[in-house]
Amino acid sequence: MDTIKVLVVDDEHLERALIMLGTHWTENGFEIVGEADSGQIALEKIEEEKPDIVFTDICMPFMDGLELTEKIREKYPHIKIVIITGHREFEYAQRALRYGVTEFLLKPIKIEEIAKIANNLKSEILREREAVEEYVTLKEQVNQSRNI
Amino acid sequence: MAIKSLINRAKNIFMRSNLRTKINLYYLIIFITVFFISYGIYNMFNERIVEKQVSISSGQTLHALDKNLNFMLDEVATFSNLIFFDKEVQNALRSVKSEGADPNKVQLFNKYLVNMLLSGGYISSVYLYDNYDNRYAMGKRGVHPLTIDKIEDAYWYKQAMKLDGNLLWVKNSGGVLQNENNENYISLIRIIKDLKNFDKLAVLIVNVDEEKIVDQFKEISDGGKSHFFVLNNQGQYITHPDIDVDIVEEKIKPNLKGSEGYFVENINNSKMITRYITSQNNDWTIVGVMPLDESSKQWKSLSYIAIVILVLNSIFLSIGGIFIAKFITKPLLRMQKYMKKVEQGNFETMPVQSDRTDEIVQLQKGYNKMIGEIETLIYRVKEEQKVIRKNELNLLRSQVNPHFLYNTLDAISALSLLGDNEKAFKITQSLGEFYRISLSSGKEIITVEEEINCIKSYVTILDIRYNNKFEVFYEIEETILELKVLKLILQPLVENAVHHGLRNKQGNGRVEIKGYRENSNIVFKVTDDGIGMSQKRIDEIINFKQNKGGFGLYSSRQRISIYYNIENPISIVSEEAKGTEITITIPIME
Repeated sequence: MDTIKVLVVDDEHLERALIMLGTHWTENGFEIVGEADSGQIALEKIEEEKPDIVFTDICMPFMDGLELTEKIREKYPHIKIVIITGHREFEYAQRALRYGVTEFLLKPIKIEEIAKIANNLKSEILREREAVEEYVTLKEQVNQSRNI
Repeated sequence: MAIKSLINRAKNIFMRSNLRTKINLYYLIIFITVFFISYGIYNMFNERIVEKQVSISSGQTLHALDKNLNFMLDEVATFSNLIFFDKEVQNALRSVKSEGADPNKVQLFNKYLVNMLLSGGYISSVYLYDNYDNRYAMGKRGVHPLTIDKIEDAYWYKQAMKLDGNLLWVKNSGGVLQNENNENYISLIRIIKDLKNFDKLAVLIVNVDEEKIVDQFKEISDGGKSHFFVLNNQGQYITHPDIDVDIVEEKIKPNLKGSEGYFVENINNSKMITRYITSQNNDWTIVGVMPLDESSKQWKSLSYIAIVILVLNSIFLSIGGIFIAKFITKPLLRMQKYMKKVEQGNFETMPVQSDRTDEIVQLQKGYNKMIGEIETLIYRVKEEQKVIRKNELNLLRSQVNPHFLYNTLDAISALSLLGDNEKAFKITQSLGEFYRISLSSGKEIITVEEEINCIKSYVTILDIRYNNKFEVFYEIEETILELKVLKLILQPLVENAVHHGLRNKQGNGRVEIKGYRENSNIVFKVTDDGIGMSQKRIDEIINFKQNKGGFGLYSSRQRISIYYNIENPISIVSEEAKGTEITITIPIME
């Protein structure tokens, strides 16, 4: 229950490989739940695996990273989305944020960045989970006291 | 030289002066010229008219004189008739049979001769010679003997005989009579004939004082300013002129041509008109020499009026010239003001004067139009420069192709992490080759072989990155490998085929690259079996309309077009879901 599920989406297998090999995911409490080489497959996998973080390339055929982000946001607002992109322009980043992108991983990928971003997101996710748990506990307590 | 430099200096000053001064000066020069020319023409005609008028009036005078003269001479002739037709005289002359004067007859003749002297006041003397050379003579200042032996010896005798009793006028009796006092007179010579048998009876000489005739002339000579004289047909003076005979001989006599006429000569520093007519009754020429200046005084005053009119005209026209100059230069100065503004970069059109429709307004309109055109031109140049700069930037970007580089670097990293040394080596080598050619230290031109190698490297990289998702086939004629082409002429087409044609396709794709020579052209064909393009997109690329879909094809087409100066270097045939064929046709470079 404490592991963070990660999905990697990219139409280039080597890019996916780089993300997956770029850090010691398991040791750090992550689990790569899958990889997808298109947005469509990614959506299917999300449905199946319910990942906490999605790493997605921006430039893909059929459905690009931003479109995918939009689709994910519709159903899963809590999923952290990391966009992998070579674009460095401010306007581009702003647009991506509007779509609901959580973080950016810039190409060419600096290997330490993967771990850093992942860890940041992990603590955020854990904080959120704690909050949810607290809320659930409180709710239960309220329910229990009501029963009493 | 001094005059030449002076003219040059005047010319310089004229050229440097402003338009208004030029127009005014121009007007002034024209007016002065016109003034003198018209005055000259006027004077010429005026002089002719004056001369003509004077000649007419003086002709009338001469005819009057002629009439008087003839009247006088007729009278003398009439007096001679008194002797000619008198019976008593005829009988007396007939009866002279010997030399030596018969006193009775002398008395008779003298009576007639005296009568004659008395009746004609201007007759100075009368001589009568009978057939025996007896002389009967009467004279107011005495009589003179013959200079010759016999009267028949006179040079005019034969002529007088031929005239058969008619009148012969000679000068100073033709030198027959002695003339100690050098008196001038005109002699009437007449042969007196027997009225019965027309035999010669005697010779009559009637002398008339020249002075008496000249007196008549003097009455009308206008206080000595006009001179009149009479010449016979031999050019001898019947009456003498009262001016220097040498002048007459030199300047007047040679010009007397025809029966009448006139001419103008400078005599004693004044203009004189000479008018001559031939007498009605004999072949004498009556000549009048009159001052032209005197007689043309009234015409002179007319010419003063003409001068005044001309001067006034000139003044008015000059003033007009000044106004015209102002009329033209004022709007021009205004235009100059606007032009100065343009110099400072302010493209302001000037207001067109709606109240006039002349050249000035057309100039203003033309100026405004020009300003507008210059403005759009400058705008266009700026825009063009922007496009050029953008293209340069695009080219640089496509040469460096950062996303391609980033992705490939990531791929290399991944391969290294995967421990796939072979592929890592291959992809790194290809990347090096790709950049070596596409950057090629700023060179624009490379060989076809280099371009193909660049593409091969590119394809190798993509092969590794996309796991052999597509195949590329090359069909390049050997003969074109060494030919020079614009760098990156083909690579963007392959990139386009891969990215837009194949990546968006399910399953594996196939790209064909053909290169061959066709006449003096090189033709490249890049064919894919990808998703194809809509006609709309093809039109956008062909008609230079940039779309956001990717500048690869678009800027490639523009670059080739500009570099080779060909309007349509690229043709595209495409069917959606079936594939695309792009053809580049470029001339072979020297």
